[in-house]
Amino acid sequence: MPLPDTDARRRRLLLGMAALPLGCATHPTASGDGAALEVADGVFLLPGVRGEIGPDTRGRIGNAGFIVGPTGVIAVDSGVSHRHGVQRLAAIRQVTRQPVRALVLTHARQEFLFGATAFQAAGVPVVMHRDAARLMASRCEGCLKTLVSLLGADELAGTRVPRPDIEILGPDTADRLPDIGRPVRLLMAAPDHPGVSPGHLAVLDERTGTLFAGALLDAGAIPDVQDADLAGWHAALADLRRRSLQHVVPGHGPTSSPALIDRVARYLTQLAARTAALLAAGMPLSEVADAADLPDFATDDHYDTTHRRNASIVFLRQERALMLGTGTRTSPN
Amino acid sequence: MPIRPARRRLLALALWPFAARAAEGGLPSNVGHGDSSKQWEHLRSQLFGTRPIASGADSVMQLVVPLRAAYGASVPVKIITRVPQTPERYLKRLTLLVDKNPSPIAATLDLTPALGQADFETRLRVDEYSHLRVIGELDNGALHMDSRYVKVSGGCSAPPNRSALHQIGKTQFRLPEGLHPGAVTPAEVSVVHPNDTGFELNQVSLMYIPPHFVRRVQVAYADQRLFDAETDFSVSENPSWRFNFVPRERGLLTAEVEDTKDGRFTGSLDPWAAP
Repeated sequence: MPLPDTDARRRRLLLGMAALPLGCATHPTASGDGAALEVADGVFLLPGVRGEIGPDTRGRIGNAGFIVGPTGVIAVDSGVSHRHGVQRLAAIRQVTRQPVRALVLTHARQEFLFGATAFQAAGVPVVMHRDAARLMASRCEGCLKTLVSLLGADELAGTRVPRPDIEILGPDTADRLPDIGRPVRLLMAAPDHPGVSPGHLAVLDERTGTLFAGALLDAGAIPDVQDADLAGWHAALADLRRRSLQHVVPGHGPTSSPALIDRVARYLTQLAARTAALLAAGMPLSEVADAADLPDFATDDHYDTTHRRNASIVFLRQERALMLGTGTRTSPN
Repeated sequence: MPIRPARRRLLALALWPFAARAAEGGLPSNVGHGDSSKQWEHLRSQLFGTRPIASGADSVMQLVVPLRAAYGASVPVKIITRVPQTPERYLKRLTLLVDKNPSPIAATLDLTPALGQADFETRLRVDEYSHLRVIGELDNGALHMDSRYVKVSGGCSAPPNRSALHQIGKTQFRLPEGLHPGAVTPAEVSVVHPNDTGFELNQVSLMYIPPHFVRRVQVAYADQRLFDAETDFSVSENPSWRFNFVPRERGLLTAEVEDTKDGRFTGSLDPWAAP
């Protein structure tokens, strides 16, 4: 990454300072159905709340947002339930009467996608990458069943696994977003580099340099490696560093400066180094989650859950690589 | 495995009253580790009839599972036996259960005194909030149990890794703490295998991927049997077992593995030659 010029650095510092009070303001209640917050000119965050998916948060832990153009609105991510989607669409309506031209689902994780049917019911087409749509179709009925047991049937009333109206296949179809009179770009990984999650999309508002990062970046919250190819994720982060971003709306946590990219990369690097050391020491999986503490990230949201799971997952992958690459030869009878 | 007909289920019910302590919203948030379940009552009568089963402080079995388990596709489960494994008194069989899994009997292990200490660790798939149980049977027929209630779910788990399919069945041993000649030595055997459950949808075709899993692992040291594991798809991908053996004289650790498509694989290690 080229060194930023002084002005850019100053802007980042200012933004970093601004991010703090904004960060507090983005999590005022545990309801997760709060009003939109303007991140940049015409770009809005619909904040999720801190915590885990459970009755206390009603599962409303994922961020969403939208971009208002002269002729329409692009919405990014929806919510954890049909009801949540209805409320988020209503929050958009409170800001603008422009028609919502499309809803982009950045990736197949429950707190971002189950509100989509509410947008579809209002005539908004849902845009998703084909690979993310496939992942969603293959597993999200199971997620929904778990969600019902966690949040109760009432909270999930009317919730279904959505089916996208527009499937993105690759970079050459990235311009398939409906026109809203301002440039909005879909960012995606190369097909052979699944990155953070199969078919992951990020949405860039080019006028303000605001990135809706989806699963690529979490702020003050542990990123989830469950669907990720770590090398591909690092490549995607390197790509983000080359872009002139001003603001980042992460999947979880408050709006941040682009310095967040380096923090997420640092987490992934530390995580992999830690589990590799535990594997080399012969530690059994049962002790890995406890032993994989990373003090730099210990106060992050989801540290007690996602981080422990991440450690198990990366440990298992490294163990598998070890099994495939070294050790005694075997032969079928 | 001998499946006994369901008899005198009423007695089992009386012994294991299901404490239905549902929290608000019907959430099973305060279920006790020692509680019974509908599924367990049924399994108990099928597997053990009306035989008494020691539990709590009276049990020689201990089950260690992360309470808020890390990863539903691979939940580490540690089995500790509170007595040594000797020819005079030994654990001859272990049954490992996941109450609410589609196929709750994850594994049945036949054990020999040659283990020295009948402790094990493996990884299980846990599909929804469920009790995990281990039931140990001593050579005199006495049954001992321990159970843990685990809050984890596999609903959003990543699918198994199916790359390197040509290496399916590759079976390896490791000695995580090195060799302790003449003393109880931990070892681990693992098999490269997706252990497909048959319940997973192919992401492209949206057809179910057929079941294909390791059903038997037989482990020996110096031609003496240590344990035979009969396993199901509740065991995670790349099945692995940590166990103990006592290397008194020089010999090989060997494993014979069989899967549900009649794939047969072997692995071995000379623990004395290990680096």
